[in-house]
Amino acid sequence: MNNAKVSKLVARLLSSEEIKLVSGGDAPHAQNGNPYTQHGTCPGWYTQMGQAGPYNQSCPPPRPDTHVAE
Amino acid sequence: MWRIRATCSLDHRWRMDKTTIGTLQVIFKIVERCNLNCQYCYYYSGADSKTDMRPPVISRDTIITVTEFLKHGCEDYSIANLSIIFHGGEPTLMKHALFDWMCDYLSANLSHCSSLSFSIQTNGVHMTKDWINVLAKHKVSVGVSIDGNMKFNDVYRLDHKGGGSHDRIYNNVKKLNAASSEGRIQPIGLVCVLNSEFDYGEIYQHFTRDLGVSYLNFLLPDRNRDADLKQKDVISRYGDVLCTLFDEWLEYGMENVEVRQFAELLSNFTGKIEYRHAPENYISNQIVVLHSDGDVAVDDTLMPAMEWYQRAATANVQTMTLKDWLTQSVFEDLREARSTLPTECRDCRWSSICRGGDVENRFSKSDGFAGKSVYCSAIMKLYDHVAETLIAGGYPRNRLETAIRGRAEQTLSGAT
Repeated sequence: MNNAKVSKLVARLLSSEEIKLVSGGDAPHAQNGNPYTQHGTCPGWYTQMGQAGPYNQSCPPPRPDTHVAE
Repeated sequence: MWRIRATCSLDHRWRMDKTTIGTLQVIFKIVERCNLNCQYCYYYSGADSKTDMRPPVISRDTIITVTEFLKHGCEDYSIANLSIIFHGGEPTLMKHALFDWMCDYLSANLSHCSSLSFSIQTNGVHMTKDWINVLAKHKVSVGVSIDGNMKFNDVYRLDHKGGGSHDRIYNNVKKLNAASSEGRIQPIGLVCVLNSEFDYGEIYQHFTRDLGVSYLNFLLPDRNRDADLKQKDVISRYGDVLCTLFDEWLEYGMENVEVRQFAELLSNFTGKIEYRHAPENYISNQIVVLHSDGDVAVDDTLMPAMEWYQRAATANVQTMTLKDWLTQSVFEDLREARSTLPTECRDCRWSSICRGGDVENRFSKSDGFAGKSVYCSAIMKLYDHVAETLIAGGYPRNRLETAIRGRAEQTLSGAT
């Protein structure tokens, strides 16, 4: 294991943030390899909306009206 | 005056009851035949007995009817994002001129209703210059199915004459990459079905170094809990496969490659996670499958739950609205399965993140969706490996446990 890379990953994780939406609906389509159509994260329950964080930058940003008020 | 008040009152009640959809993913099977004959293919495995009877290629009339179906769906559900994924069979078996017309027609009639996006999932065997031009014209993002370098891909992904497909896919991925470099299309993604016997160090290098692709999605093979004992032995090896892939990604791709499964898992360990409640009656992501004859179906990734899948009613866009379709009891089955943690998982450390796994892998003839995933041991092996790796890299142990526990508490208190 490359310790420098693991440390870099840890630093990157700790400095980023994630917004998750608690809601229903289907899990994203697993047969679709296209990164631009996948908004989902874990099975079923939580769906990220493409906001901050290094891991979802490939998702298109949501339209303003898909943001949910806190 | 009273009439006005009465109207307002009804309108208010309608608004209160109205369900809205964040993203509708339409898996649009525009071609129902394939130029490959992959031995593991879920689509031609017999679960859908009507496959061979459907039109090989969707007609213009059906495209028009489908468009009306989606248009009314957008109105009924105020759909924010309409994501149309051209699928098959193999969608590039359609004539590119018809594809061009179809995209024009869909855009002209739907782009004012919702934020419309197109993508295509292809086996990459037939990707001509004309096809790339039409994909670029309509800003269609591209996912290519491939299982590895030639010695692995050509084990199962064969054409109808038994010939391998790798070389053709390789050349076409290069063409797509060139179009991406010119800014004509977005960078492509690859989807790969895992095999416990394959070398994923080699395959990862092939995808990222030889093919130069930065978006990867690895799928566990279709299985449910009725898998026989021999298969269950194999399943434990998928944990090793996933760990190998994670290590490869960490060593070589962490900076510029996104592997969907790892991105999803790691998103649980960001420094800050903010949970937001969706509004009432809000569905963030909904999938609908539309066939070449206009039949509407449930998500076909659920085919491993075959006995349940076959019970799901079929309908046609000519006779049913999206609203009629989504109010069927099968969707209640799915919602219940996804929101109910299997009993076996209740004491598991990872339960709030894994949620028992994908529902199709939880299915058995005797218990429906009540059991844990047939891939439980493999998933747990990956999660433990990732957690140990993060801790070895300096991730605070208590913070990691809090992230898991906090997620569990959020799950318990935050579910609506």
